[in-house]
Amino acid sequence: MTNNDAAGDAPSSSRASGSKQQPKLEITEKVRVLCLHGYRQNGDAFKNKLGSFRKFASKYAEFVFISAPHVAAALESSADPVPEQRSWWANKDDGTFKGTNKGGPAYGFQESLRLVEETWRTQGPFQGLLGFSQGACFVGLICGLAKKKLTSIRPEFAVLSSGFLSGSLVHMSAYEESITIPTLHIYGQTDEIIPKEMSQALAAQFKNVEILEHSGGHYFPATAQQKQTFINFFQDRLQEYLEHQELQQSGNASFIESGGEDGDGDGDANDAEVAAMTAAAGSGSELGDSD
Amino acid sequence: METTSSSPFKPRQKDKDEDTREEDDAPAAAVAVEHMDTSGEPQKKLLRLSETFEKPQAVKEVRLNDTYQQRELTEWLQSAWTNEKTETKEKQTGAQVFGDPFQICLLPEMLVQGQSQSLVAEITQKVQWSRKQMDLYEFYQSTDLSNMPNCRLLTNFLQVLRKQVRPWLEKVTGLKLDYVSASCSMYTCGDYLLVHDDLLKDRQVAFIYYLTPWEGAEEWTDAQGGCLEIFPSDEQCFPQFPVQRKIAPKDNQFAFFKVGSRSFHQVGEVTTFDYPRLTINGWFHGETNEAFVADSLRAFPRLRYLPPDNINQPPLGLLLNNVYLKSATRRSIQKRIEENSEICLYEFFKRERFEMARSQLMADSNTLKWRRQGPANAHNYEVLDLSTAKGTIQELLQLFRSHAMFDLLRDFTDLDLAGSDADQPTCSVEIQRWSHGNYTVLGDGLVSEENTLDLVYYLNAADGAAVITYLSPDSELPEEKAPGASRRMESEGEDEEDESVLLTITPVDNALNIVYRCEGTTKFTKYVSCNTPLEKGPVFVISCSYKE
Repeated sequence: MTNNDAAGDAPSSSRASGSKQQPKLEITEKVRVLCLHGYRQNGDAFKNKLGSFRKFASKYAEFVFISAPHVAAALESSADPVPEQRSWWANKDDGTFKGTNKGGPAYGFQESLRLVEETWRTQGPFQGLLGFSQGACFVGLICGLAKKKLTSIRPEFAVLSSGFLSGSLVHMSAYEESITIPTLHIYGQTDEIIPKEMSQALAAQFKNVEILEHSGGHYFPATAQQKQTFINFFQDRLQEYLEHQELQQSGNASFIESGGEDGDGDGDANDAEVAAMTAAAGSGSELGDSD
Repeated sequence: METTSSSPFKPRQKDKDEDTREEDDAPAAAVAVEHMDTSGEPQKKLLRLSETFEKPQAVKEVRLNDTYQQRELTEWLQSAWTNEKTETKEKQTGAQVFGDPFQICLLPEMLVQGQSQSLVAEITQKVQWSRKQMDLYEFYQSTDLSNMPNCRLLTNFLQVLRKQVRPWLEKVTGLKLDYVSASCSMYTCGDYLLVHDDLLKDRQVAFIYYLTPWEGAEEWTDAQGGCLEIFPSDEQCFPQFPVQRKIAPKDNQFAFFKVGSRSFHQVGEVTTFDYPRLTINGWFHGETNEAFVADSLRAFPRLRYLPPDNINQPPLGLLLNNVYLKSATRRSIQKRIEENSEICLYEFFKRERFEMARSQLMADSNTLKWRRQGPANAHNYEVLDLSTAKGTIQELLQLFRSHAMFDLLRDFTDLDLAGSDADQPTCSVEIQRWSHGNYTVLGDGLVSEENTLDLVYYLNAADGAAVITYLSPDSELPEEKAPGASRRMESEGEDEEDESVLLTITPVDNALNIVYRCEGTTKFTKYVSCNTPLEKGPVFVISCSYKE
């Protein structure tokens, strides 16, 4: 079903071979999700942790992992920072990050945002975002910035695990508007690093919310108990994506010819025609004028 | 502690006060004040506050830098202020005075070292922010500083402003300054305050105290935005582009300027995602400002309305999609407009025509001449010199002005734009180009005094650019608005915008939006953020208004 000429080139291997520029939208049978790891993790580590999860969702979704550009500050002030431990930004002026910190700036946030924008553009197309802990906080912020048209990232859905609202003043305006895209919020009832109330506060920023609670702590759960929820969520998102694609195609078709001519009795028929003309999803503009 | 080269985070050198400043939790000193101890604490609190009137003492109290209390500096400032020298700088303190286009003074290091950090800590923990959002601005504001009993340092700061800064400023400026009002303002990414003069009632001197003690942002760069931008004005006192001077946020810097008929300024959009722009700002008040009275009589330039073009008869059938020429369609449209006062007609022109017009507008030609539409406190977008229009653009222009269009619109809306009942139908047409930083604000040029039919048509549309909002005549503006007056900024304005929004038009290519505006309806086009992606280039808008 793809337009891709490269024979047998599965999307995952084209990813492995480096970020190939994909100039045209490809029709694939899965939704693609960009994944943002948590504090002190990195792309590969996060990918490994999500092995079972990725298997559950593999029929409907494909996941791409990147690493944050900043190295997290060392845990002990006397120790060296570990290059594999990454951070999307710091919220204290000693270069550290804690979900519960309150402060003004978000040091290094812009650089991370640009990296995600670049990845969204060059390794796309993507439809969704997924994040854990600091990554989930980041996903929440990106959704807000996207709503305000302050970024080129356009998530159609998101998965936020053990997320929380940013305590940095600079992020306040990202939470001004309620987010309407479908989201799945996951958190542990016994999470001591990010208490569930914090994840619930983040979920309250969204309108179209599915909550998945688990009995554990601060990790991304992927047991038999969560399996069906994940499958359903991505199945629904894939369906929405495919329906949207179909609408795109038909939206560019030529107009409905009116049945009768100028007769008076044709009021209804022409109302329908006008309705089709005037109420048709004006989504043509966003994905380009494809004529 | 070593850091790897890939980490930008260098731990700050801990200074002596570090351990007494806790940033995660409420500062210890403040906690002592807050606790409602029964052991006579309230009295102690009062005592401490009164002490600061005479002699600011302990490290935790807000204290002005000694240099600003020296007589030589005061005299230097006095002289620089009254001489209205173009630009001058005092060597010892780095104080600066600019005379052009109006008097503005910058005083670096206003408070003793480390105090801006303490203020920021208190603000971060304690201040409640309310979102201010209208055509003119988007930012956060706190309540007045006189209304913050739980913010010890901010209350302290206000006392310093009242008791020390105010009399000192009276000396420097020679103005009578009776009282001061102040609040905190915060601008985060995408926030801005568009150009205005601050004139209101008895405001005499405006001030801004900048708080940005964070590493990497003690003085903001151009790329980070958020500058105080100063505008020149023309003979009629309308602010003009380009910006004459930019003053970047700088930690612990105190700026003040005389409020008058030419004191046009704005807060440039904050484009950094990393740092908030934080200030304590307000006014020193005195006599009713004479400029305020005079200002209310100025009128904005208005659009030109012309009668229909009877000469050029562009072929509707070749340009419009056929469905819009059918009378049954027209009836449906009429019904919709009657019910909703608006309608959006998708794919109004034939696709090829639209594509041709769009590519002609996009092509970098020397023939099309654009100029910036001002004045700055009403508009900032580009307008096509219509005499340079050619090809399909000229065709469309002629179409919108043509008798045939007036006829069509009469059919769509039942307005007397043509036919025997038509009195003196006229229309105005603008072809606009929109990009980053562009906007229009509510202003008298855009208040319709009579019923008007607006047409808005987009080419090369993009999300978040040239988004137009119509407001009902019932919308209460924050302050009295004399006809012809420019919009005003109050420190605590009421935002009635949300309740009175009639309609927001979302840009869609080749869609014709028709809006019937009754008398008094206003509209504005939202400021386009510098961070809004415009991958396809600028957005073009053909904006027409028809009157019976």
